[in-house]
Amino acid sequence: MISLSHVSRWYGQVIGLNDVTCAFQPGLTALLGPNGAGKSTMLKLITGQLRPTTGSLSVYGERPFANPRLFSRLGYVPDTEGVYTELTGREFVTMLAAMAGLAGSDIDSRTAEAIETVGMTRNADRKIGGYSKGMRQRIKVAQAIVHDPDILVLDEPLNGLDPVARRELAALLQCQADEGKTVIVSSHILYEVEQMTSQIMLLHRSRLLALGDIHEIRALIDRHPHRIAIASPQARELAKRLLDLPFVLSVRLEEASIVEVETRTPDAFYARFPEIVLEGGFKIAAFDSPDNNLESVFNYLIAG
Amino acid sequence: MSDLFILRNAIRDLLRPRRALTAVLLALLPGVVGLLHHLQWATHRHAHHASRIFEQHGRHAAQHAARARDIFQPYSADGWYTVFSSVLVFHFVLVIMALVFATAIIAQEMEQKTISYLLTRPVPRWRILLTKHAVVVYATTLVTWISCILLGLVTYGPSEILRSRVPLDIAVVPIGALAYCALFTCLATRFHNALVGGLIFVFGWESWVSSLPGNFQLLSLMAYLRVLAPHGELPPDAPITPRLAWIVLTCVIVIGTLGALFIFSRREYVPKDSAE
Amino acid sequence: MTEGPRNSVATPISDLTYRDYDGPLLSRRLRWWSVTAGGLRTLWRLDLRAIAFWICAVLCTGPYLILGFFLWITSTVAGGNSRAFMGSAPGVRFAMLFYFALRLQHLFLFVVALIAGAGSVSADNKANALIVYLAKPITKMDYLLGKWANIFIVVFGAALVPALMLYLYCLAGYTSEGFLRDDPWLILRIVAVSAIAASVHASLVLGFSAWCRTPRTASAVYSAVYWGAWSIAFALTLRTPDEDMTAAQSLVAHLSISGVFIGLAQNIYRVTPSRFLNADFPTPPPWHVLSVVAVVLVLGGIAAARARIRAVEVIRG
Repeated sequence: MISLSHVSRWYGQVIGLNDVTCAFQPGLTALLGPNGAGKSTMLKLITGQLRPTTGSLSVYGERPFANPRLFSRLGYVPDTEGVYTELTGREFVTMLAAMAGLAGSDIDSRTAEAIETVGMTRNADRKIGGYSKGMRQRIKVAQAIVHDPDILVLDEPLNGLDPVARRELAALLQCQADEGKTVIVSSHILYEVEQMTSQIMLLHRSRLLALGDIHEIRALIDRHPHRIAIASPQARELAKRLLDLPFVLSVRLEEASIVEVETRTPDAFYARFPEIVLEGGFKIAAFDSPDNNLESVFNYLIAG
Repeated sequence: MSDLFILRNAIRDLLRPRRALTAVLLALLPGVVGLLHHLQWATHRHAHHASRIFEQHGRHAAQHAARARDIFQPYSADGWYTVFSSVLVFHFVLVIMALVFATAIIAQEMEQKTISYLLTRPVPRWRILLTKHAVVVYATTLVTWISCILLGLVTYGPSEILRSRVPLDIAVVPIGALAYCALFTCLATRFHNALVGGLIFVFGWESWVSSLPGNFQLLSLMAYLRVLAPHGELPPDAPITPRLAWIVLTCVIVIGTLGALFIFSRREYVPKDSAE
Repeated sequence: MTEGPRNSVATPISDLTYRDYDGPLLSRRLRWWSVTAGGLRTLWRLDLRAIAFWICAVLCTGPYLILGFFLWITSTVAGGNSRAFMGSAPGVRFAMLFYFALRLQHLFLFVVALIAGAGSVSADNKANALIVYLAKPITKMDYLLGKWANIFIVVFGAALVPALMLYLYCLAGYTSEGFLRDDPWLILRIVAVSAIAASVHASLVLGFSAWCRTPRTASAVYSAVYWGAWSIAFALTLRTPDEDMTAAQSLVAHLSISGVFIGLAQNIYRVTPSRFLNADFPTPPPWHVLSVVAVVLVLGGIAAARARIRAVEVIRG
């Protein structure tokens, strides 16, 4: 659907994207990376605003740059705050719906539908110049979905949204992905992205660092053993028992009642742990894997 | 349908209060100045001194200054209209409108950071630009027409205006608007700050070139327009004939417009802050 | 926290004691200079704006270089007599060169002012940076003065440096022909004329920039006003031969931005109505009249800028 093959993009002497090869399939993929990693560059390449300096990029088998044929199947939410401030939200979405090729009779109904989907019906007839940042973000999403595109590209869509709005948008995007569309979201808000999807693409310093399911990626990071924190009133006895296991690298008593275990094979540990608890009659108050999340994966991969 | 919405948006842009006010002021300016001048000098009886006027416009015009004195009688409406039209309508209103609005076609979208919306729609880029360009040409022509007509009414009066130079000027204004807008739109597709370059061209080069020796005026767009709508009698040995003027202006319009469409279709336009 | 100077207006933004800042508050002179220096630094970058500025600054030297070249040619080729080129008006032979060069240079000075000044406040408006500036321990006048000084220094330099180059050339080569004897105060006149042109441009560009949201709009508006005023002044007085022009008509002929400082330059250089290189120099209005107009333009521009600059933009609708 969307494929990049050894794509690089230079801005003068500065490299924006460095030899990236990947493909995007239907579903929701999160594009992650620190500032300057190349996320926006990649999204602009996919949406046909930039050309790759080297390599090839195709969307549905065609080059996207200045390709109007493709744009009817593409919806894009830019990261910039630029909108037509003198238009109302409804006029803005209507104009872009018409430019997206919707038939005259459909425009109004589809516009109303898109505006309602993003929760902007009450404010649709106010000028965008008077909108808050979150309202502008919502209206931008409305213009991207109004023509029901097959590919939805959103650059930092969660910025400026309150937690409720973020959750609503995440639900909307998941819905779109469930319908078989290709949804690409770039974001810095890792814990929100984690709720949305487990498919991630991680960029760092313009290079592709990781691509795939977050848990699979985590499992592959050998040099960072998994940490598992277990809270128990019998922490010392439990620690002694866990030390005997061959796949446990280290055991540490963090506080009087918390045992922190390091292991390179978390699956084996999870399989054996219940037996140990039952055999020893240990009481377990809490059980957590603090680094089996997106932020930890992100930090481990970037730290190198 | 999409063209219609681009057109509507472009017209709405032009009708923004500040812009509309600017256009109205420009349209009224020559008429108001003409009226002031008419009121100020109506009772004076000075001899006409056209040579000073034409020397300001260029050396070649100075050569026929003596002949011009014979043509223009003191306080003739023709004399007043001719120079005001040349200085205020053609060399100010027309070029300022074309310069400011044509260079704004792309520059404004880039400043507002809304260009990504336009460029990610299933509308060929050339159609987007052509639609906006057409609106600018129309607006430039309309405002210049109004200023021309108002000036004509002030100097000739309603009864004589149709028999004056005004109809010829009105016929030539669209050519001028097309030519200048094509040139500035083409510049704007290539250069971020085409306004400054356009200012130097219009108020520097085009003002001075007629004073330079030889055939330098062949490099001035205004010189060709002046041949089609002469504001003064042309010398018989003038390097620009009406036929040449039509050919050159047509070439400028065609090449400028096609060049703009070509460049806009090929170039990348990404607002600066958003590039990562 | 150090007690800073109190502003007479008791609002949080203008009250300097509101600042959360423990260091010493620098004197007024240095506060506005930091704004000026920031602006000047942008002209040393390798970007299109800076390149355009330097090209125009070089073009500003053009008229002086050309006149200096003509002077040299007539001195070395035309019988070694530069008087044939400069004419023989006593006391103003050389001043005539500088006046004529200014008349040719004014377009490029206008462009330099535009490049240096159109974005001075409008770019801050666009980026919503005013709230950042005015949240620092500087007053609105510090900000304004800093921006004004930025434009003034740039335009003053563009006007003065080429004139000084010609002055030094004449000093080196024409002292024996009476360069210093003709007018020992010529250097002061050159500095005064350059300063007047720079002041007028700085104030007006600043005023227009403050009222516009983008540098491009400010450039367009200032250009329209500059050339519109010139066109009107020219059109209103063109039918009157110089010898028949009354004082009022002379004033109208100089009632454009360029007309004001060119007319003042003619007074300062004491260049009487005459012809030089086929150009007529009409009688200027008296210097005190033009001075009043210049002062009105300068103060008006600054007042317009001051009225518009505020930290918070109120959004309506």
